[in-house]
Amino acid sequence: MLPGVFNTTYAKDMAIVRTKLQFLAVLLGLAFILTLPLYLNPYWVSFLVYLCITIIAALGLHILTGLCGQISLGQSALMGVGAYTSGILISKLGMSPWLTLPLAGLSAGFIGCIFGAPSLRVKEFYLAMSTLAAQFIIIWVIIHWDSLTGGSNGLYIPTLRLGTIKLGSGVKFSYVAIILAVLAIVGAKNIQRTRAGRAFIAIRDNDLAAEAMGVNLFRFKFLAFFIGCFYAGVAGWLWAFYMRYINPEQFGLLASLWLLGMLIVGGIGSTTGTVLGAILIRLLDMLSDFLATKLGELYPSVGAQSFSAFGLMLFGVVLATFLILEPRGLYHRWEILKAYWRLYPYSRK
Amino acid sequence: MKTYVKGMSLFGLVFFIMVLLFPAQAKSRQITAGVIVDLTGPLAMNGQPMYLGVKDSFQDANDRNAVPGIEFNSVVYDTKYDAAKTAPAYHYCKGKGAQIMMPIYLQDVEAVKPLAEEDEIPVVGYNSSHLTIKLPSWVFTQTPLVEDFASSSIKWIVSNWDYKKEGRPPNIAAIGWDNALGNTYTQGAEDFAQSPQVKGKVNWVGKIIVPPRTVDYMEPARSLDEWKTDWLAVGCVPSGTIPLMKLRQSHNYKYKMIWGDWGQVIWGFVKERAGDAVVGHYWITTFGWWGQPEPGVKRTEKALEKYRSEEEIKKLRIKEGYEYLTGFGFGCAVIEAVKKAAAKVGPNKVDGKAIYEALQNLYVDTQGILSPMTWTKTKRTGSDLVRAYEVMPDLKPAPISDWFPLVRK
Repeated sequence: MLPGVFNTTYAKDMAIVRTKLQFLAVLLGLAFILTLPLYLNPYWVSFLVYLCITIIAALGLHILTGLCGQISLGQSALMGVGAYTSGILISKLGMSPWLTLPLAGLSAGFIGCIFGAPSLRVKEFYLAMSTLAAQFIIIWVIIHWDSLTGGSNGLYIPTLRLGTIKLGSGVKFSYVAIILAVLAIVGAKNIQRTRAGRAFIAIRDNDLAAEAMGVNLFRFKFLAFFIGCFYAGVAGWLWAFYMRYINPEQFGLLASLWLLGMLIVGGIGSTTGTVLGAILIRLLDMLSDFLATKLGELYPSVGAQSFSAFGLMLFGVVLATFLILEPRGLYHRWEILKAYWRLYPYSRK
Repeated sequence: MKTYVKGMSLFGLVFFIMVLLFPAQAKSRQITAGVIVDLTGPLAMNGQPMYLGVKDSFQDANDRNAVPGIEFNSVVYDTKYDAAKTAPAYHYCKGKGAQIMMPIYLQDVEAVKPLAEEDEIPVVGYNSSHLTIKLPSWVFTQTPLVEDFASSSIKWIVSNWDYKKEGRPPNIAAIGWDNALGNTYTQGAEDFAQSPQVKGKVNWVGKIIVPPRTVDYMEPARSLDEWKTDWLAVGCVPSGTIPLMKLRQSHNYKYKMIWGDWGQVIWGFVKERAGDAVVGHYWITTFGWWGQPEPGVKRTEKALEKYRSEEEIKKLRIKEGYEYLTGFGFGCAVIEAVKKAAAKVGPNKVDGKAIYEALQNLYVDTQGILSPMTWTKTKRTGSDLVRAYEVMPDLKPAPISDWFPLVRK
């Protein structure tokens, strides 16, 4: 008997779920996630929704940056595009919130393509600068087009309904977030296995070689921007119904940097890694909130001075630690762990 | 068996005597307020004293048994002034049993509104905007609208301008950051200066909008001087305009600067950094000030001494700012609402709904801590009166007017 499970066909190699055990684990995992909101308190349900939104936005960035190698610092502003598209269509045109879901994704996708256009001429640092401009321009337009967007005062979003059922922002709404997050994960996993996904990876690894092999750079870079920003738009849609109030300050540069940080911590280029990175960073963020609140409450005079930017420091330390000790991210650790058990007892630590 | 019966009888007797001697204390009903504030972020020096003020007002009310049968307490969530944290903060406080929400900053008041309305939890917020006062609403705020500060400031300038001596109306301009506060305030000033209410009494010279966190004010400062500005209405926090204050002083520009409630945000720090460039600055505000003879201020001073250490007072520069006083007054407003609710439904039945009902027809006089507040079914910004302050040569602000009615748009 072979020590472990090995892929013997190409189809098996490419499959997302390869063994019966994995299939069972996926089913149990889904059952666990779907029942989770039922036994959590309101704060944790809220955290779960926040996490789902983050995962969707981070997966968009994973497709754009992790798979296609196009750095983007404007993901948060594109979430804003999705959120505002939905808010404006509902408040000004009275459109059904559900109908605005694809439109939020599409609008973010198209605007992302506009800002992604420089990627055909520039890359790496220069592209980062160009997408950084997107972050500022989009927010500037939102603030100054106040007849449409409500300007810096923001916009209220009605509660999401399914027929006559009010979904609110609690347990019922968390199911919408979970379903969209699961679909986003499945989508991202599948994109990786398509022709487009392979073209993205080829462009990331060496765009000249990819072009020489017949990969249309123009087409696939635009496609990566469109899909990545579509994800951001969907995350923005969810965000709007989660917060029930949107204003430009919610879509700042810092949020874009956090998303990029999640990719680094999780492992650039991996869907699982992106999800793990999003979970870890959000948990750390929450932990820093609790610690800061407790410390700030216990030692008010110190809290206001010394604990300032506590969360940011924690984020910085985690990011630096991963870059130094495990640049391949959490996903690499996960792979090592899986390989160890797959080859057990023949594996080495 | 006999020993067992004896033992049990003795135990029963002792238990009976204990029950007679120490009857069970009637347990007070807990009223929990969820405070949503920045404790460790960029506005921590503002948020910490404000939160301590709220907390100490509750402690003071509990110690005085201000509302018999009710015990006040608070849960706090540190948003670090991150607009994305308001919803988690709200859900955290809700999960901890908050029957009333107390968000401080405008972005939090605005964001909490739809969530609290859905759960029918009343919100007593600090800052107001057109969004927060939109009815139907469960939100009640302390401060007036930003544009009402602009109108009131111009009205006060007009009332105190010596037309005979100057032989002309005052030249008034406004400056603000390109954000909600700056845009709303400068526009409010422009609208009021050109309104029939002050027609012929004001010469509006213009407004300047600069990007948020601007540090170079050379051009705006020069333009304001060229416009022969007498009064400059400022729509951003003073910590952001220290360079402008210094330019005004070093170039001997003549215009006087006037702010709304936000004019004293982290004032202790502003004073340290700007030095005597702060002399002659003015505020039109809704709050009282340390050392004033009003009973509410005296009570706050006593509470501060009782509940806070000298180190805290010194490090947080509590006595140099308005934050603790305002927080204390803000807490008093909630206590008054609960008191009214308790009087109506009884202390044991006070809940969010009862507090909401009480807030819909409430008059709160904090005896000088804050300007008196009224809330009705349709009027949701509390304070109706404002007062003018000037920073004196000893760098301390002092009231230079009595309370006067706010000019509403």
